[in-house]
Formats: sequence, C-alpha cells, structure tokens
Amino acid sequence: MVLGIFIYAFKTDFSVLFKIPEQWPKPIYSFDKNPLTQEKIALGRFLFYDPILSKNNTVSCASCHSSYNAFTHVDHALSHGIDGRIGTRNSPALMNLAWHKLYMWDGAINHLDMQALAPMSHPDEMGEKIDHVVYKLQHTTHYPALFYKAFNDSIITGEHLLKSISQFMLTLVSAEAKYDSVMRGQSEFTQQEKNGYIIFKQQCASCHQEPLFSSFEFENNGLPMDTVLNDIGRMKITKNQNDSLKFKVPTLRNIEYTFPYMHDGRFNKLSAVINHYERGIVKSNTLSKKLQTNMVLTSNEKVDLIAFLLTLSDKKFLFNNQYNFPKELLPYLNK
Amino acid sequence: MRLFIGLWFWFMVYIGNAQSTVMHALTFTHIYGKNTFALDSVCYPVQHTDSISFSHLSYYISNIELVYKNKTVWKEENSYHLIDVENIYTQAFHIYTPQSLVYDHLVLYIGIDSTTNVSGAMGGDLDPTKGMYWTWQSGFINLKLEGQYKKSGFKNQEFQYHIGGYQNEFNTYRKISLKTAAKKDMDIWVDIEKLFSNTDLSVQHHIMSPGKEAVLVSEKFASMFKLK
Ligand code: HEC
Ligand code: HEC
Repeated sequence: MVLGIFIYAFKTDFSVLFKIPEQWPKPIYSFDKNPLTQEKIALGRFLFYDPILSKNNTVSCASCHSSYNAFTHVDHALSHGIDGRIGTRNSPALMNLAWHKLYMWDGAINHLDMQALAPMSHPDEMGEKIDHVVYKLQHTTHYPALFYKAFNDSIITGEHLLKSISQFMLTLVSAEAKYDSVMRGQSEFTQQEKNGYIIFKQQCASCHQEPLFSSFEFENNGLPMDTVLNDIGRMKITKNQNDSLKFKVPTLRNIEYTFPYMHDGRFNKLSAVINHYERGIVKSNTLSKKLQTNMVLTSNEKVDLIAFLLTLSDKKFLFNNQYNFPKELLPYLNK
Repeated sequence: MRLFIGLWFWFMVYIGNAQSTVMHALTFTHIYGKNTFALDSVCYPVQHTDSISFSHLSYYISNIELVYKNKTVWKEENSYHLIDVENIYTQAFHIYTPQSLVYDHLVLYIGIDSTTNVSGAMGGDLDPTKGMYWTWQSGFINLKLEGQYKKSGFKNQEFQYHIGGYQNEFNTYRKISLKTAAKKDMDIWVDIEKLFSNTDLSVQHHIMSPGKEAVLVSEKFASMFKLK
C-alpha cells in the first residue's frame, strides 16, 4: 500500500508532465480529478489522431485541429467533417486549454472533459455516438491494453475515453514565443515590436489579456452579423438578449498560423482584422464598452502592431514532437 | 509499529461500521394514474389529445438524505442513481444507514446538481455513454421521456421530453421530500400521468434543451413521487 502510494506519486510527477509557465495564473482545470500520467496522455494522443472516433472512420480530431497550425483547421473558414460536410464555425486553435473557463465560441461546453462529445456526436463533424465509439474501441486489438495501462481497467468507459483525450489536450501549452523570452528578460523586442506592444496594451489587451492573450470572457467585438449563418453567439446558450453576438475572446498566441480569423473565419489576414477594429466596428446594443470609441491607427502603427502579434508565434509548440501524429498508431489504422 | 496500530484502528472502525448499519431497499414502481406503467404497447388517456404511449423513460435520483425535524441526519455518499424503466435492475437499490437512526422524511432529488454538472467526465451511472448527457451543450439530462401520442384525424405523432438544465432560472434539479415512518424498506410510487397535467401534447411535443419549457415540466416532478 505504502509502496503503491510511492509508485503512484512517482508516476504522476506533475511538474514533469505539466508546467505552469512563470508568472501565469493558476489553471482552472481541476487536475486532482484527472491527474496526468504518461500513459493516459499517450492514450489521449492516440485517440486524438484516430479516425475511429468518427462514424465512418474517416475523420479524427486532428482533421480539424492540426498540430502544425496550432491545432486549427488551416485554410478552411468553416470546418469540414465526415462526408465533406461543412460546419457553421471556424475551428479554434487548441492551446493552453487548462486556463479556459468555458469552451467553444459560445461557451456551450462547461468542462474540457466534455468537449470531445460535441464533435464526436455532431452530424456535420464526426457523426458518431460515444457508446458506439466505446464499443468499437473495445473490439480493437490494441485499445483494451492501452486503457488497461492507463486506467488499470481494460473495460473501456466513456469517462476514461474522455479523460484521456483531455489529458493530451491539457499538455498543449504554448509559452515559448519570442514574447515570452522577452518577458523573462532573455531577449529583446525590436523597435517596431516595442511600438506595437504599446499599441496592443492600449487597444487590445483589455480583452486579449496577457499572458494568455484572452480574458476568456464573451464580448461583441463589432463584427457585422453574417446573414447566412445568423450566429447569435453566446445568446444561443444563455437565451439572454444581453449576450447577443458575443463570442469567446480567442487567444492571440500563434495568431500567425491560425488564419482564417474570427468564429466564422471571415478574415484571412491580420491586416484585415486590424482594419476591422479601426473602421469596421458595427454599433449595436451589445457592442463591448471597450470598443465604443473609434480607434485611429496610422499605417505605420498597423505594421508595428502586426510585428508585435508575430512575436506570439511559438515554433517549439508547432513542431513539438510530443504533439504530432504518433507513429505507433500507424500499424493500427484502417484495420 | 505506528502503521500497524493505524491499520488496526481502521480495521476496528470498519468492523464497527459493518455491524451497525441497516440496509434499506428503495424500490421505484411506475404507474400512470390508476394503471401500471409499461413501455410500448399500452396506450393511456391524456388531456387534450386522445392517447399516449411510451417508448423510453429514464431519470436520475440523487443526493438521498434522511431528515429528522428538518435536520439532515444521514446523507448517502456519491448518491447518483439512474433509473431506467427498460432495465429492472435499476429500479431498486439499497442504501445503508447507521442503526437506530431516527428520521421522519426521506429526501431525494430528481436530476443532477449544478456542481456535478460542471465537474467533467464521471463514471458509473454518470458515464456519458448512459445517454443522459447532452453533447452539443454541456449538462445532464435529468429526465428523458419519449413516446407517441394520438389525436383523432392525425397519424401517430412522436414526442420527446429531454428535461435538463442546471443554470440559474433554467435549473430543473428538483427536491422531493417524502414523509415516512422509520421503516426499513421504502416503496416509492412514481406517477407519470402527473407530468402531463395541463399539457397539450399536440402543442408541446418536443423539449430538447434547457429553457422555460423544461422548467415548467420539472415543476411537476415533486407531485409524481409518493411513498407507499
Ligand atoms: C469537423 C471538424 C472538427 C472535428 C473533427 C473536431 N473539431 Fe474541435 N472544434 C471544431 C469547431 C468548428 C470548433 C468550434 C465550435 C464552436 O465554437 O461551436 C471546435 C472546438 C473545439 C474545442 C474548443 C476550443 C475552445 O477554444 O473553446 C476543443 C477543445 C476541441 N474542438 C477539441 C476537439 C477534439 C478533442 C476533437 C476530437 C474528438 C475535435 N475537436 C474534433 C471543429 C472540429
Ligand atoms: C472588446 C474586446 C476586444 C478588444 C478590445 C479586441 N478584441 Fe480581438 N477579438 C475579440 C473577440 C470577442 C474576438 C472573436 C470575435 C468573433 O469571432 O466573433 C476577437 C478576435 C480577434 C482576432 C481573431 C482571432 C482568431 O483566432 O480568430 C484577432 C486577430 C484579434 N481579435 C485581434 C485584436 C487586436 C489586434 C485588437 C486591438 C487592436 C483586438 N483584437 C481588440 C475581442 C476583442
């Protein structure tokens, strides 16, 4: 028993598997209910990349969240699912998920563990049912053993499936951008980046709060409503008029790679986003107070601001070999 | 040595506990007014429309307590029970209380409390494979009732009530307090007809997400449960 506790503590040495970057706030995710282990993370990574989670075994989580694009769906304004079906929203980049309060653009999901249920069940995404996914996994040659290694139980449950996917996603921490090394005093901004940072702090940081570059609150940033999609955002969940057209403030980390931008992927370029903030804001009842006064930026200032935003790119995150497709999965695919 | 004493202590506590607990059976019997309740075949009378039949009924009973003079004297730990009319084994379970406990009310809740609703993935009866968790918006379905109703001149129509919601004004988690003598086993009768009082099914046939409609249905939960 005592030995057991010792081994357990050794196996789940938290600081090795998940480091809270210097000067970051405490994560929101309650790790005590789902303590990270190497085995569970590895299992979660398998599942994240395995199309077995979809109805016709063609679409995996990674189909819409690719590691080389900070886990977003590159080039697609709206995400593409099974049978070429097109969703209604742009797939967000996945990183630093332990710090989010709610998930999805409208906050429909209240806990990271429950997130995977949404794409698995969505007819336009993976079109599956979790009990059937569990059934399929149980009947593979390899998953029962992997679940046994991770949870000491080869009977696969929905709980264990979801918790292991969470574990992998929790490890996707991006905190090694140039911005971070400047903050740690290990390198310096160029003059242009410095100017951009000043503008950023004045105009953007109230919502895109450092160090995570999001307040994780819901705000209306003045985008005109797309009359085809008619997406009312947060109000869909709360049914409260005051939440109309509010969306979760997205992080700006790795923004260089996560185009197209906004909940419906309407902008392809950062310059278009900045032009929106400068002269595209649509006034409405729910427009954020922080955007009520007009923003005036010279063309030099815009260039500086973009230069700063590019300091949020974290190549180590993009090319981390713990995050990409696990080669060990290859022999089992399409079997 | 200290370890040994510690273990001995826990062992004694364990034995002590085992000796002084009482096992109570809680049984849930489903009725529809004066009729027994059965899935599929049987049709029942219902207000405003001609008849109704059911294909599915499941719901959560949670946070069971015994109360004496408005004070909680015992609480079940990890108290979540999914009752599914298709599965007879779910319709009765045991609770274990200390001996000679005095109580005058059995308290239970229909549905899942808000804290549990935001606590991530859980196992057992709360496992999302049980079909009682919404996928596109987080939250447990507290009660799921499905079937068909008939109105003369129309084909059979489907109805689906997925009643849930845990936030603020859309909370559908409901307390049931039943007066009881301190007896061993408790037979709880659940009258499904009560859910349809003042309901016109031809108007209100689908409730699939949290909201006002779900709250109205949940307000009828308390009247469904009686101790026999
Ligand atoms: C068909 C494309 C598609 C697939 C497949 C997909 N997602 Fe997503 N994902 C999206 C879209 C689109 C959103 C945003 C949806 C919304 O906000 O309504 C999203 C949102 C998320 C979020 C929330 C991020 C945030 O910032 O709130 C997480 C986490 C996530 N997905 C994980 C997963 C996992 C895990 C899987 C596999 C089980 C998966 N996704 C499969 C398209 C996809
Ligand atoms: C009032 C809060 C607020 C302020 C201030 C604000 N933003 Fe945003 N930002 C948002 C919200 C909310 C979204 C998502 C909107 C949507 O998709 O509907 C967003 C989206 C973005 C995106 C797209 C991110 C993605 O992954 O799709 C970029 C880039 C961005 N903002 C940059 C900026 C810059 C640069 C500034 C300062 C000039 C700024 N924002 C100021 C709230 C704000």
